Amino acid sequence: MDHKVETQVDFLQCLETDVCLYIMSFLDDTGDVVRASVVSRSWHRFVIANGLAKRLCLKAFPQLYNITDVVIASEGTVNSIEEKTNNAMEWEILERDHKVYAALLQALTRSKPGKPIYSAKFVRFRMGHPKSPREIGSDLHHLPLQRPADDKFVWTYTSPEFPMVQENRLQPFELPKPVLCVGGYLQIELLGRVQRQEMDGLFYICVCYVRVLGRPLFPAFEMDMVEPDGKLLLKYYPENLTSALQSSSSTEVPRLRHLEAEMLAERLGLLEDLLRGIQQGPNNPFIWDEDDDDEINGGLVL
Amino acid sequence: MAPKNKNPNGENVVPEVQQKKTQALILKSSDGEEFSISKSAAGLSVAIKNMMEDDCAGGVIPLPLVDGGTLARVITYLNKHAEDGASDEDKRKFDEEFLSGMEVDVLCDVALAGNYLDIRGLFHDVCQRIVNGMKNKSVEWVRKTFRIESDFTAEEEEQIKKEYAWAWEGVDSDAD
Repeated sequence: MDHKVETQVDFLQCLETDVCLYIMSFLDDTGDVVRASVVSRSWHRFVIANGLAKRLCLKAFPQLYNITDVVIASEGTVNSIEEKTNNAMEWEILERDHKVYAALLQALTRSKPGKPIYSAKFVRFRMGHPKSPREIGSDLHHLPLQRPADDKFVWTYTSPEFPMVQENRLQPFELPKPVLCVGGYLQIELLGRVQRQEMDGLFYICVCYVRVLGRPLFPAFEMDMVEPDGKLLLKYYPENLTSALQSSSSTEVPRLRHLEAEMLAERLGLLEDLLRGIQQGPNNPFIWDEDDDDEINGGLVL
Repeated sequence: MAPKNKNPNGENVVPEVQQKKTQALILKSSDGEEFSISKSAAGLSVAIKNMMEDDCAGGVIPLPLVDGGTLARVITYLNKHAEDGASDEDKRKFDEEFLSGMEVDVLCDVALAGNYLDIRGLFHDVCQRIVNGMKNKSVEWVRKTFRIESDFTAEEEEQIKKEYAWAWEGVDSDAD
């Protein structure tokens, strides 16, 4: 009952635009979108005029909705196109969006094998407490995490340097002997950089997942700081000693997060850092979140 | 099947309660073919349902945008999905087989019909099936599948490939 002769199957030609858009919305890979734009001139027009690359990018990373304009640094400023007609300008903007969002999405989601690992050469751990708990409070967010913050902390223990493997996996480190951590703060120092970022030639290091294994002495013992001179007061609660002695160090390997949650967190982390990098400009290195998993063993936390 | 509901004397006598379940509609394709379909099956199409409710149907619903071959396929789909005993699993299996047998041109026709008749599930599945033919495939493969002739010059194509070289990495081989 086929009454059409050699049916037209170039669906972008024969179906309505909203149907085509719906069909193309099932493309979820930026490479597929880019290749679709080379199929023919009409496909090229469709992909760019409808901003498929941008749609895909915003769907994956809704945080990008706040971007109102993009500029390709090597192609000069927006002003250079001012003299053109409205249509030509609009098209130029669409083409630029296509270029930039396709590249951005590719950078954010590129396949695993090509992913660089931003591990450090060595890792070192320090434990200690803030000089003034009142000043720090419970909010660590305002601390300059990229710097040691030595002026705000008293570090009572510094571990040896542990070499890190340049691999994207969980890496356990065991302290040579048990260490008492007074005050409950652990600092992880990533020493030496290996991975140079293709994009800007700068070095990046990062850590994605940390778990510290130890044994709490609380509630049998507690430490209070006597301000302002930073002296410590040790409190002993005899009635709680039994429970503190019974609690054993947790030695089981941490369960890996559900894959999906992990991927999501990774993507969001990646994006957040990328955006921070965008805000700060190329001269302020940002951390590109990757899975370098650390496990530290042997600390005693008080 | 007669489109009108009359007794041998020519009077309209179909009991209303019975009418709902058993009465059939006639769907008429763009090329004049008539198909009978139960109201419950036809009602899975939002567009047909609206036409039935508006009572502008009069027993025969003309569908000027759907040809006979496509309409027959759509009706097969609707009948399966309106089947009383069919479990979700049955329907999924049916959908899979139903779509996997279709060439791209048929898929496009069914997509168009699914959209026009507002059959969401069918439309969604067909669109997805069409796109699956493009995922991780080479440009040449897409052109062949959708019978498209490139009107880019070799230089233009090369230029784009050069600019987006990463999009050509790891693409499936055309050998099927």
